[in-house]
Amino acid sequence: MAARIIGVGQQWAGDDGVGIAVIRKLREAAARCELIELNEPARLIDLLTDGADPVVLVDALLDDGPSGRVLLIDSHRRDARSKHLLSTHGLGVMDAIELARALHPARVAPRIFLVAITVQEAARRGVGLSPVVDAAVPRAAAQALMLVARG
Amino acid sequence: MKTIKVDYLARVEGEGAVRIRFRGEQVRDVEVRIFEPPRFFEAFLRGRSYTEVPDITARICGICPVAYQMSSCAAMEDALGIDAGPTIGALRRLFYCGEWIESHALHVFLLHAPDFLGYPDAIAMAREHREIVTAGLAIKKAGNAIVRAIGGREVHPINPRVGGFHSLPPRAALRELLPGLEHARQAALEALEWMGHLNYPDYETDYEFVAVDAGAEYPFIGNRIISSRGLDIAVRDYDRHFQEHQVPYSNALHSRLAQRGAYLCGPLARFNLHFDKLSAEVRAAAARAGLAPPCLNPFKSIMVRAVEVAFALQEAIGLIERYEAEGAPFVPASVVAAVGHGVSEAPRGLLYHRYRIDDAGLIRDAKIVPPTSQNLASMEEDLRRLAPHMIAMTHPEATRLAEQSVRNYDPCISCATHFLKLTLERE
Repeated sequence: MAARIIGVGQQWAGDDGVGIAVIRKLREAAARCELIELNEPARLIDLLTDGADPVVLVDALLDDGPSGRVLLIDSHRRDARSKHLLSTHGLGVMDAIELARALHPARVAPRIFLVAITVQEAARRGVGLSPVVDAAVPRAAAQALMLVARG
Repeated sequence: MKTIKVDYLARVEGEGAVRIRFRGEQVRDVEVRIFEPPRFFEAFLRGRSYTEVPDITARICGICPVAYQMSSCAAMEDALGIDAGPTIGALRRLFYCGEWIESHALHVFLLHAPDFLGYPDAIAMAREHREIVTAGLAIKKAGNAIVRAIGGREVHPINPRVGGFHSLPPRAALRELLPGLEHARQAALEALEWMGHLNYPDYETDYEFVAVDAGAEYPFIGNRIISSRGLDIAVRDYDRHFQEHQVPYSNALHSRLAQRGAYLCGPLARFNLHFDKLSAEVRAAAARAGLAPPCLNPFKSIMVRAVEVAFALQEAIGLIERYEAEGAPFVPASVVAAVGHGVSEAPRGLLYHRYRIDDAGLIRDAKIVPPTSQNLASMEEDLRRLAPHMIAMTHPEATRLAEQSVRNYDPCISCATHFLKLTLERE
């Protein structure tokens, strides 16, 4: 089945909207794969287990280092799960991936990649991306496309 | 001195901790410390238009925005003398069913069930009890679908407004939800059966239960507040009977009943005060699970939430079957300077709003009392009563019991900061 790229985030929450911005960039470039904007990670369980493969997730990553770095994160890394684990406000992306694998081991996409763009807590407020994170959008989009093409 | 510390509460919303200190075998003090920073919503509502209040207060919480929208609209409509009427009332009730279903399902199946089945979290539980997690996610999805269909989106809905809704959802859009709701209703009833066989800690407390009274209906929105010890007041008298106070170790205010002390609101209170208003089918399902009022064991709140999920699903199905998208979507307001009070039953319990607006419709004063703040004193009292059992426990065992006890309340710390790290100290 077709490849899928999912941008996770909130467009009204500053740099937290970078995943959505990457999807819009890919749409402008007429990328030939399914493109989804997502603001509720619990829905990821369905999107990771309906036959799409590979699935590339693009999300903001809170980090103490410089903003705007584009990282490829191993989706099996347990230490990348949120310290909050699960809370009543929903699942984190890594929690949703792990839950999808636990619930549907035979159906879950064999190849799940996570492209993360580093952001800082203070830049998660307001509308629009900070310049340094905005500048990372084309690089993150290219990284996602490369993963789909390689897959 | 022995200290039991839970440094960071897991599987609750927000950031908090628990510290229990002992002197010898005696419990010296119990502190539920909420260190999530204050959010100042009441302050920045001042100067905003009365029309903005459902949209602004919805931002207080990602899982119970409907509650904030409904309590705020109720308060503004009280101030402005608006009666939204039965059609809008029924649609609000359906909207609220959606929120109870999604919020309770997430807590019951993914956050609280691992405590009773012996797993650190839902992901570990899912590897051996896939059917439980799958059922929980299906139920949650059904609730989300209601909120999305009426509210325009699942989180922070945009359709509610003072006086009603910006638009009424088409009848067909709601009827499309029926198969998913019926599937979820069956799943909730089946869940109650296995919950009846769980091992519950042997613990009971004679709480004063407090809930909204909505006449003949199991309550979502109402204009009276009642308790298990005879309180029966109009919402406008809330401030005369309920007092909030600051504690030095927490960013959340604690509420108490004047001259009476701690009380409990939420599912257990609603179940005990309004059991007779549940349908015969839901009451029978509760009875099969061994649950009947008065239920004084807070650990059984997981079952009570499942009862409320089954009720809300049944109620939602009936409301959709009777729904006709007819009439005006909202009742317009004429602005006057006034004070309004509103109360509704958030998934976690009673949510009170009060606003004073001027003759231009601008908010001059706001007061919001979320359910988690109201339950903090009872949460600490539960821990105080359980603490003597913790002395002989290993630290991981004591932490597990403390966290499970806190999770009985499904606390929403982000709402209340306005929680867990457990510290047990022994002198």
